[in-house]
Amino acid sequence: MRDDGGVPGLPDRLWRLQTDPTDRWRATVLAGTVGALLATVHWSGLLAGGALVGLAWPTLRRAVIAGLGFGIAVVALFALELALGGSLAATLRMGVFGLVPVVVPVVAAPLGATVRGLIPDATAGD
Amino acid sequence: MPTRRTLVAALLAGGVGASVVEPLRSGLDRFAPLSGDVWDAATDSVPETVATPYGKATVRYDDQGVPTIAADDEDSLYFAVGYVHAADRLFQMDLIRRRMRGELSAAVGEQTVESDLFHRQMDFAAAAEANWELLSGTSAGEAVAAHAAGVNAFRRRRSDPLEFRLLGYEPEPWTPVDSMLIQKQISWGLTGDFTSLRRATIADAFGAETADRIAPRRYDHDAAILRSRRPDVSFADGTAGSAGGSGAGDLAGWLAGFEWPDGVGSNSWVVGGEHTESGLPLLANDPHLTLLAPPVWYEMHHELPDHSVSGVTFPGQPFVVIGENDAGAWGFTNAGLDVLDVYDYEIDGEQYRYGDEWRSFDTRTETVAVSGGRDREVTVRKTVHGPLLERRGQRVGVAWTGLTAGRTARAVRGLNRSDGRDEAVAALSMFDQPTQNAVYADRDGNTHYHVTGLVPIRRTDGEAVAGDRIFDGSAQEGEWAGYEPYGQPDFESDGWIPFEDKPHADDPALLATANQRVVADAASEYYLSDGYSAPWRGQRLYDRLDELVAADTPLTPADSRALQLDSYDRRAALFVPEILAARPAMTDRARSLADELVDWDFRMVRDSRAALVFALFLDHYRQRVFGPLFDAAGLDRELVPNDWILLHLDADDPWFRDPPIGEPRERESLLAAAVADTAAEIDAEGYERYGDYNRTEIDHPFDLGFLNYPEYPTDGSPATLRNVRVESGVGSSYRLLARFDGERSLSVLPGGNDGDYFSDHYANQLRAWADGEYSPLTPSLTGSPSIRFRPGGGDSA
Repeated sequence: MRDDGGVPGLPDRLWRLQTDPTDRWRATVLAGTVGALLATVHWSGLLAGGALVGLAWPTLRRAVIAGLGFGIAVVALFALELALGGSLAATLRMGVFGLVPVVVPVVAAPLGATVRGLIPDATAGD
Repeated sequence: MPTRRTLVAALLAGGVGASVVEPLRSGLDRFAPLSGDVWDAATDSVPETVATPYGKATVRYDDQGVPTIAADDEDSLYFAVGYVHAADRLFQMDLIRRRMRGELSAAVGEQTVESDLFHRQMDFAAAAEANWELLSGTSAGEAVAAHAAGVNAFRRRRSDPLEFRLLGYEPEPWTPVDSMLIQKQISWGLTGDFTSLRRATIADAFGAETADRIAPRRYDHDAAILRSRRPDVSFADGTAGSAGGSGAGDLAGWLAGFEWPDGVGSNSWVVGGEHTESGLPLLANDPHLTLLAPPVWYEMHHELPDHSVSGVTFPGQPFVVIGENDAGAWGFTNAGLDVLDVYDYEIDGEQYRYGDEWRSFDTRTETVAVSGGRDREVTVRKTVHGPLLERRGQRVGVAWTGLTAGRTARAVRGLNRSDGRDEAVAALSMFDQPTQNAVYADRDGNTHYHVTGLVPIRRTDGEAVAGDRIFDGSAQEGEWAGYEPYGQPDFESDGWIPFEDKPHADDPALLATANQRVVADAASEYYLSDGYSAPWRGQRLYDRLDELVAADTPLTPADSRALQLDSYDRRAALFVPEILAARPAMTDRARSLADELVDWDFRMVRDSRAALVFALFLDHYRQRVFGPLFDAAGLDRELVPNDWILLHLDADDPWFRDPPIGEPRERESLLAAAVADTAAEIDAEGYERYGDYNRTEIDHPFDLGFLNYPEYPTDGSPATLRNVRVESGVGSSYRLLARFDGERSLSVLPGGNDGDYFSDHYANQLRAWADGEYSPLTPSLTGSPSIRFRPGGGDSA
């Protein structure tokens, strides 16, 4: 615990990471990569990835936005995978079934990112 | 006031909790990006190298997705064929075997229970096992076994196609018996016909005299395949008779659901070199079967050191069924011969009388598993003739040639390897099921036509009888000598029409088949059929061929192509004058619509307004003429007579003047009302041209929108040579134009070769098919193979 005015209960390293722009982005990229890898194994990786990304940000609001960004990145990654496999156009013709892989990440990842709300916002730095 | 932490915790718990509850969970399992099962199918690709227990083989796909498979020997070739079939059509193959085994409901649920009950009662699986027993040990059997091993090699190595992932099950190993089931399915579709039962049902409802008029055994025409100067006569020995107290009405309606849709038929013709520009024959074939996504057929090229074969296979069967090899080309149309009989019995509990003795049914009880529903019990009973079909207390026995083992696989292999007409005809002699019109032509200028298939000679008290009635099975009427249901037949028995006695023609200069009467009854010493297709196409085909032959210029492949795409509708030529004559009885709106038919050339083409009016009118007129009486009699609409009967009912016919049920009606007023109905439908649907209505509606069995093929306007009708039936989803399932002048033959499929929705070849030929275009039937012999089969691994069984 810090005794110099930091956020009570929040480990120092996580606080520093959330409030240091460079560290935060590095952590976000790392968390997103881990999340995407998890998501290739099971869809719950989208929740986990969103949570990890969210924890890299200092406030709940920004964590949710970052989680949404992660979800969009997953959609883009998936679209790239389909495009490389020659299946993107066919997937876009699938109607509601083709929308599921778009909707799921942009809902699941921000939902996971709300984990950030279980702990207080970081108040110093940016 | 809840804290933020509490709210967030509740949100997370709710979200995560909902995601593990069905159906959301299984939806996520299937469709979540990166991990969803479905997307494996989207990103999977066939490997370049596959281990084979046989010899080397290669697969090269052309830009239409049609593979050329090359190998040094048959087993190596057919292993690769099995692999490729599975890669492109495994779900379709699995669906067919499930249907034939009565196991569909275990995969797809409640909606297929009736189908499963019927197929269990028929016990096609036991018939397929008997077939495999006959085939194993032969060269064809070895090929079927190698093919099955190839299917399983794909099944083991690759991820399952999309449909398995959507349904959530994995396919069982493929067996040679499954390949026999594929053959049984085709045979059943083409010859599993309960005409005699339907006719008896109509006779029960309306009386024998009416049944003879609206469900006659023979249509009045002279366009038999083997044309004769002699006038045809109705087969004299028949009786419309009743169902012998079986009260078969419900049964006939139920069974109609398991016959193939109305319109299953085909066209083929062969023109000898004396009439062609090249001096060599022309052969054409387009089988009219159910149009499905993916198609019934799979197009491919087989290359062996001693022969090359191109054409279409049935997925799940190794050989090319319709196509050409180095020596010749061949095609098939349905012959419509009667190879199914229905028997009524004296029954006491679990016994039936057969002659002087009481026999117990061969009985067993099976469970039909139903996915997501209640499992069903079905009692399978068999008699000496075959299965006992039961429906709401009605029972009939069924004998069908497809229930006994046959040599068709050997015949088709023989065709693939044949080196000219003599070998081809020898192969056709073993083509036991289904009965077909086979046409053949070779590079030496020979042509041939032969009816194929086991055709029983029914005997009652030793005398040959027609099979156009329900037999008294207990009195041993209509017995088939040499027939052993679910066993091996005696091919040498005198119970079958000998191959050399079946209708045939050596070196025909001109011969055309369109499922019409094979030969005038008076010209055959045998009873052949209890009903052929209406001759609309058969008459048109011979009319046009006769005109072409009579012209100064010899026939060219372009003439053959134009004939295959001919959209002249003889129904319209016959009946439009009747419609126009009824105009005084019509409303102004109906009259103005009928005026559209004036000066029409009777061609069912997409831009025609008149074709639209006529097509819709026919449906409404049929309902006006037959609907009320069939409904009043409690008859299934499946039993409504066809257009030949409908359009040949003149104004004084007793059906109008003295109907079996209800008050007399004026045909003219029915005509006028049907045109008014047509006007209302056109207004309601917003149709402008025939192509707005006549569109390809080729659906996947799932009927999930994205799996169905796109809809394109097209030409043709149920009665034109260019055959399409939008209502029943039937049409030209493959078009082949074969020639021997050194240029490539042409072909096209109504869809694509690859059943994988994500493939570029899922529906790539459909537009060409709809527009009447073709591709050269050219094997891919150069370039880097897509798949190489290398010896040194895998199972051979």
